[in-house]
Amino acid sequence: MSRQGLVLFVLRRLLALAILLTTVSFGVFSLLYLAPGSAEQVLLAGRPAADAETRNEIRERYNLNDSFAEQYALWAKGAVRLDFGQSIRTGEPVLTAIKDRSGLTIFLGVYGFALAMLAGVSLGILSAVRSRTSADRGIVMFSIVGASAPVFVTGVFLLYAFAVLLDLFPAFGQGEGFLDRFWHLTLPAVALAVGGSALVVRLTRAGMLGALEQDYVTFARARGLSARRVLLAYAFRNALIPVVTAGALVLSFMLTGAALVEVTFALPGIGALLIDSVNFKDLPMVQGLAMVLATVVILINLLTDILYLFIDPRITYSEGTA
Amino acid sequence: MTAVLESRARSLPRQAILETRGLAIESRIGGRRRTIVCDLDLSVAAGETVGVVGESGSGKSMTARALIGLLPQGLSARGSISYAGRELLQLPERELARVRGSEIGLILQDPFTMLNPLLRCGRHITEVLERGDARGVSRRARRAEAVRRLAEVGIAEAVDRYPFELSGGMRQRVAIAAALAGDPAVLIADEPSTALDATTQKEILALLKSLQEARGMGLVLITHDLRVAFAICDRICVLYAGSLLETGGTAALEVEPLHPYTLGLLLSEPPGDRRLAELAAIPGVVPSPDDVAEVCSFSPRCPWAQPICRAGRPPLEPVAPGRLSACRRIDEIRSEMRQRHATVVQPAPPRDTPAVAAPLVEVELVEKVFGDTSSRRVQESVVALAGVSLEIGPHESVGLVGESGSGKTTLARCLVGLETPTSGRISIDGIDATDYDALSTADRRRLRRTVQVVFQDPYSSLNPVRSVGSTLREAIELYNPRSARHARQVDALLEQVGLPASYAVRKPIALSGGERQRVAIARALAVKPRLIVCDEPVSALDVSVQAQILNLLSSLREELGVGYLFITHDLPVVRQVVDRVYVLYRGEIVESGPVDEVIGAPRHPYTIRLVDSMPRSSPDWLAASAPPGAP
Amino acid sequence: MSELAVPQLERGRRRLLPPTPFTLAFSFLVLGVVVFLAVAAPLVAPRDPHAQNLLVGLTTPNSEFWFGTDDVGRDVFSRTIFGARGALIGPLAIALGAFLIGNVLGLLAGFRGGLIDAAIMRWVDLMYALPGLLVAIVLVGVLGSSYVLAVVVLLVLTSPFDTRIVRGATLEQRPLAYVEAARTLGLPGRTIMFRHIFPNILPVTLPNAFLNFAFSLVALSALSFLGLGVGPGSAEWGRMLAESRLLLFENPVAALAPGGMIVLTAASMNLVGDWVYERLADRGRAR
Repeated sequence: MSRQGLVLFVLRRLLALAILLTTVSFGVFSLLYLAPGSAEQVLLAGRPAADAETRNEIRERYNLNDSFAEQYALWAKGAVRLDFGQSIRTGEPVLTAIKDRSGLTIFLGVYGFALAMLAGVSLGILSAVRSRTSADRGIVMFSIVGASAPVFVTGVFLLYAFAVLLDLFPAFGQGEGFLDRFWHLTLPAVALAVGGSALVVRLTRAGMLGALEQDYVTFARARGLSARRVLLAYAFRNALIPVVTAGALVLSFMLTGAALVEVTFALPGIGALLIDSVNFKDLPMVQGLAMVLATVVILINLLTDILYLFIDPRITYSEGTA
Repeated sequence: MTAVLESRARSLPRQAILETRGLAIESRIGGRRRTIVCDLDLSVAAGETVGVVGESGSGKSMTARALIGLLPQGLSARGSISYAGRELLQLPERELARVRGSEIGLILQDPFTMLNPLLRCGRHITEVLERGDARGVSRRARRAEAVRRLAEVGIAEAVDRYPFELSGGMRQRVAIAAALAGDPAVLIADEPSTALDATTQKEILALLKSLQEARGMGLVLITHDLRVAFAICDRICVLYAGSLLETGGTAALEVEPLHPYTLGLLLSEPPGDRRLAELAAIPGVVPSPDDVAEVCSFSPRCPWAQPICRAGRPPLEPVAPGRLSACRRIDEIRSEMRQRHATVVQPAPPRDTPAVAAPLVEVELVEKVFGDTSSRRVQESVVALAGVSLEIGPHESVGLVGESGSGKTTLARCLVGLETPTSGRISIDGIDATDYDALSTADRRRLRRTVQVVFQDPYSSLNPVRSVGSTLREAIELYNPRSARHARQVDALLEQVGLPASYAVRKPIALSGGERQRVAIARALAVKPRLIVCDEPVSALDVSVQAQILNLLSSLREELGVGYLFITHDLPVVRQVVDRVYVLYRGEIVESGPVDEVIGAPRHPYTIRLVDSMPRSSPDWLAASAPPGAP
Repeated sequence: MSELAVPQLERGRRRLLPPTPFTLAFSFLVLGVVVFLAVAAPLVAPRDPHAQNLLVGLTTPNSEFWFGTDDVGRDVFSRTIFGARGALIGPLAIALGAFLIGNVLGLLAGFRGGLIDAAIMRWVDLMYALPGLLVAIVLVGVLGSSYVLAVVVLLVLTSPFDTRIVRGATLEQRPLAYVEAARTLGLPGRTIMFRHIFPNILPVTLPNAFLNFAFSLVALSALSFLGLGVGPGSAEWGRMLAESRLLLFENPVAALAPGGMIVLTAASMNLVGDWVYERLADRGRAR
């Protein structure tokens, strides 16, 4: 695809992204009105609202006296500047809270993602090459159990095995400095990686098996190419699209999984913040987090689509076809 | 001409370079053992072209794979395959990999799946050059070599392009260059031209032949098409249900086949130069090798079969100089076979021109453009039909001939309402059938009962989860909901297409390709249409079965007076079944008229090229190759 | 929304290694036991799952309390048995609902095309662009925790996946000659969709219902683990795990038993789904 085509594609996708984000933001803003009770009560978050002064202050601060559309416009204007207001629970600005907590979650997500891809791709290739042997069976069984085990269950089992029984890893805490943090976050990252790699194994294995039975593999072998070249340049390269698809899913999964794993291991990341805010009905915080997380996921999907382009020259971009 | 004959004669006694002795191939899947090929003796010498001819189920493709040691998982070979004195079946995989590509090459049937979609064409060649000790060569030198190799097959410009950017014929050229990049002494070509259009097929065959001669290479051509084998092979081996039935020099074998199967195959091949009163179909279907392990494998379908044919497997024995045959009775029946050969090929008397009547179908200036037709994206739209007009009279059989991309299938789909033309007018039996959706229900029902369709692919034409009977019953009930005699009508339909009534309870899986196509015809007949649009109805079938279906179509026409619009790429086939023919080229009709005139004396350059690309055994056929790309 | 035209991406269907007879039998056994426990929980469980016994307090497994007790003295064994109910009902509702919605919408979108297709796919794409479980967390959290709400939200989030799969399979069937022949005969669209195409895409869609069951079980238990969906103290596996995860040092069984049950049930469902796929796919392949 030409450079110009790529630019056009990215521009079109960015436009779609803007539309999508607008839709999402509308939904996120509406949470205020979807929540049980009046907006005012929601924003009081269960505090006894006896005096009218507090109530008026709330109405003022959140523009509750304006029409719904005006409220949305004001909120969205702030959201564009990443200003989501202040947390009801702590009073600190939403953005500051998210910034403070995101380092841990990013560390954890990247760590888990790297583990999941590394294990998933190599196990997937291995099981496709050793198709229908006991190694294949073992790997497939691992991927089925991995896909069936929620992150928090894996986390609790890991905690029990490595922190309680063997005492090899710390049970809680996030550690100081890179190495110590690495050390502390290993169990949570492995818990995330087990679920993620299960998906990668499945898609890699299926992609490799599919590619290995293609005519072009037979033709490559008929020309005397080495087994390694056939495996990598032919089978794996052609299986790369499902692997990248899996990668994008795993990356999104890391965000969802972070919520669960941070609660399990009592880590103060973005995920834990979301759960705390949801349980406390801290709506400004929930709205801010929802927007940030949705944006990240949508961006991951966009990057994946662009990545496809570099993998497969046949992929063309046209409107309206999926 | 004489020079060619001499070169063919000279090539016969040469030393075999690749040879099999008692080769057997078996599959073992899920604990079930099945024979694919048994007791096969083949050989090819340097500079020789050997044709292995067989229908589907003969085991020819697996033989090709076995020769290069690439049988799919679950299949295994026994016996002996020797190459230049080395026993390949004993060779460890490592050494076998060294033989592949540099001693024995292989090209496969489908040019669309054979090349790695993610590698540029030139890379397919340089990666072969990079094997082993050749690593020291510079990148530029390798690229230059790749360009030279691609130039050898006539498409040097493809070096930096991806396979998906090329047409099927061009991809097949790249594949040939890639297969020859290691300069093998023997090339095995498994149906190299079958997936291509007739005109491209001829180019690829000519290229293979010229490469083989220039390189003094041995060529094993695996094909289902006797005409192709006759055109380029020195020697022919006829494979049937896993065993060799006959081998011999091409010229002698064409003049006089010495096995009833070969004769049957030859006779069921519709000739391109005349129309026969009836094609000589071989009854029945190809058996599985295990069912005929202890008898002559052709005996269940052979008109000359006697009890002696079922007493053990007949060996392949010399019957004439340079000729081997596995027929025990060949000496007794030779004169009968000769007689039959002579009578069957007699041309039929010319057809009476049907009386002029008001046409049943009128197509006027129909255009069909696919894709976005808005002005913004003109370059992305595809013009399938560019103003086509034609007429079909009642009871008439009309042919529509064209290659892939000519728009012939689009026109068929427009006629039966599966597509709506972009512009133009279609009128059927006085009803404006241009847009089926715009019709009243009554008119639409009448149209449906006037025109029906039979598609190409027998494997998808029947719903796999429903029995034959319920498929037919559904079609009958649709227009006769109150009739109570559906079961009897189903039986009658099955009988009409030559199937026993017991087939009503069968699922499509239990049917052969030819039988499925018969059911598809019966389904079309269920509503008693006046015209059946047949979209390549026999092109997916074996020749012997193809003849059965063509005969069925002609007899149905005589019995029921149903007319056909017969859509095909195959000129010999169209000559046997239609009265008039239209030639479609890139969405336009370039020539039309009575079929004998159009094929016998074509006028438009494209028709001339099409007629010229019908395989002929005369040695000048391949030489007289038009330059690629010319219309 | 997705502008990618990825050629032949869909062709490489799931390629599975069918479970061995032993694993398959084990999976059926697990599912049988779970169903039995869910139906007969009051008869099988030795104690009331909610009865607190502060006198007993936290104990490790013993002859009286097979799985020990939690910090307020509730019998973990009885709670695990009662937890089978929540593990079956919600996922079953989601799997069936998604199968129904997915098939109807997917067949309509794939067969009819045009505006219906565009509208349905717009919704599907929107759902695809969002991380499902996060949406569920936010929605269930903000709208108020209830099991039914959690089930409904997950159903809405799951059915787009089924719809897309069914639509893809329908698009694969639509150009096949048997469908075109049925259209040429003039059979009504309903008949073609539900009597012709539907049975032929079943090998793809039916196993997916099993996968959906397993996925919903995991997702529902995740929600209740986070305190969303079911109330505190409920005998629900995810909730039990959340409340006992701090007791790992004192009575690990209180956390490991419900966790193990989730994994066993979901894995068995996945394995049975793979087996169903293999059975159905074989039926079509043997031609």
